[in-house]
Amino acid sequence: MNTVNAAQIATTHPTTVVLDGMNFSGRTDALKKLLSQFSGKRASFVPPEVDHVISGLGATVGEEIQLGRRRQKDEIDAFTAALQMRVSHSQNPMTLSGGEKVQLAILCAYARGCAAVALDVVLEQLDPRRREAAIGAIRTMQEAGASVFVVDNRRSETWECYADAQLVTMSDGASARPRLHTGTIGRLSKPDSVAEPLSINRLRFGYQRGQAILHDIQVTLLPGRVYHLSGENGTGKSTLAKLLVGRLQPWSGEIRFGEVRSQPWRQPGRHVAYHFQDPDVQLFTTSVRSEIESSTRQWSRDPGTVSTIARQFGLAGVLGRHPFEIDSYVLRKRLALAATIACSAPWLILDEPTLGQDDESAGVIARIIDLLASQGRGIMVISHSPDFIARLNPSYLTLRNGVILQRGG
Amino acid sequence: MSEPSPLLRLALFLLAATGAILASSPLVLGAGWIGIAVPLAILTGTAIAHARFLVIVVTPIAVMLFVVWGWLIGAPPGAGHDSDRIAGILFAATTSLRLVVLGAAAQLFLLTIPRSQLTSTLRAWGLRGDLLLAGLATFVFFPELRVRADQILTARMARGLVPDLRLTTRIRQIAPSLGLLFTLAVRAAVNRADHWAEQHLFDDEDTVVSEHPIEYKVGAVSAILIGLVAIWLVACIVSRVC
Repeated sequence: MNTVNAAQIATTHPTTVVLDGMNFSGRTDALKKLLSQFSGKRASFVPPEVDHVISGLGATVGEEIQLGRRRQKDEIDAFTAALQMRVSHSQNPMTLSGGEKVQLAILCAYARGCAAVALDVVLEQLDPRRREAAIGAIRTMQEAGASVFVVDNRRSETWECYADAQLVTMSDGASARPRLHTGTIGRLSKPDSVAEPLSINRLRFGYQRGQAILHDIQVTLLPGRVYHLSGENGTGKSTLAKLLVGRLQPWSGEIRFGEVRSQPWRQPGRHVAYHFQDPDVQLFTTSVRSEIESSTRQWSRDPGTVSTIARQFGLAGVLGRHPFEIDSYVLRKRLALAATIACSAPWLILDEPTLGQDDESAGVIARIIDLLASQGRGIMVISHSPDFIARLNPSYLTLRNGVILQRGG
Repeated sequence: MSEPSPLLRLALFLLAATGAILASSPLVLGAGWIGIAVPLAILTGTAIAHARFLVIVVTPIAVMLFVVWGWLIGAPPGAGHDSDRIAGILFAATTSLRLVVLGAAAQLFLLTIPRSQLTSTLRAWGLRGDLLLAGLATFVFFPELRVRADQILTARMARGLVPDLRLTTRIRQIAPSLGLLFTLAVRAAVNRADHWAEQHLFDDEDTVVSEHPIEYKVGAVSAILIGLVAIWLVACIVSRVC
């Protein structure tokens, strides 16, 4: 990998450029600036809110790929295989998992013959195997004449895959960068929120009659521990989380908290709070303050609680702003995470809590999770980042073919 | 079943709407609705959407029209207060039925455009550039609202803010969610439109927009639709003249 500075990047020939740096070092702006050099040509900026690049015009994945297609069908088929994308063409693109949407966005950019593609922290949403495949597919795009610009916080995990890319290291710049702090963890969540063991017994669920995606989920999770739920994109991790929260009702099976058989769909969010992969679908109030307050109100009326949490998550400077006025995805992700942790539910499911966060921030999030577990809360983390998971020292759960495999206690 | 071509769709809608505006008799409007619109709605699978339109949009407006012109004013517009209560009621009925028929025509001829043919249809209507983007955004706005409404409900549940899933509880969730729902849907629409423009998705005349492009031909379905709309238009003109 050649290291260059931003001004040296020549976009006259197809190239792959990786922008390296901390959060708030201006990587997203630099991506947009690079893309602006291709005005008049087709370009695709894929932001972490991948939903926004699904056109909404195609009723199926097949139609979405066809929209504005310039490449031949056999080229697209080969690229699909290179991405290891296994999504049915008849599926509604809006119902895809986060990782599958990322694959679709990359595939569409290729199919449409874009001259430039910018990927802003989206590869993090792919499981390790598909992330490597996607980086390989980026090389194919470059060979086909496109320039690809990438911001990838997990670059160190797939360093060798970027072998031919140019590396641009952004200067740290922002000295007043809003940082995460472990802080006084006692003020982050309900003090007496101690979890009961969570037992799942023969749980079955599917979205379509006769097509179960979770076949026989059977596992007992203990409070005070961190569990890592892994599985390839689209295997049903988020679906399992929604079942435990109570957003979905299982076809059969039972869920117990301690000795009590529970029907979470009758009291959603009572035992389990869920942090979504995409923060934008989790935020629902009109200010950062009220977003956190909607969770802390369940256990604290002290206004200082909200301020403390906001400071710890680097949100103190935006407390009065509407969540969607905050341009930074990094801050919105932190806000969604803070609001979930501040809930009174004793169990937490955190879906990709470090998306968009740099290495330093991911380290602080790992410490916060560790401390919450040490207070007696039960925590399940869904993440595709081996480095982050290694920091948590968790018990491992793997979702494969609709069943859970457990190792590590 | 063969699809009517984009231009035929537009022509049928415009003719049906013209008839509804010309018709001055609630009997003709009612007959056209029951005799033509309702069977077509059932055949095209839009009956539930039409019923929803009647309940949510038409009924509140119709009630207000009957209350104002039939009861409070007791006369049609331009007539003296309490001078002709029956004419006031007829005015309310005609206006309500006109709305019903206009809505039915829009649902039958415009809202049944398959999403995969939306771009080619709007382009066939002569929309280009920003107008085309605006047209597309209008069509995807309501499906977007539905997705966002579900996301908001899920988000509130995920933090324990929805105590249960009873219908009354869910209805109570609507009010605090409306503003956000609108914000999210508009935001997503704007972002999508930016992305469409960035990719110059609709610049090329030969842009592929469908996995299985349709070749339109005037088949039996189109002929029947043309016949029904012609009968409707003649009936409306006759009711106006006589």
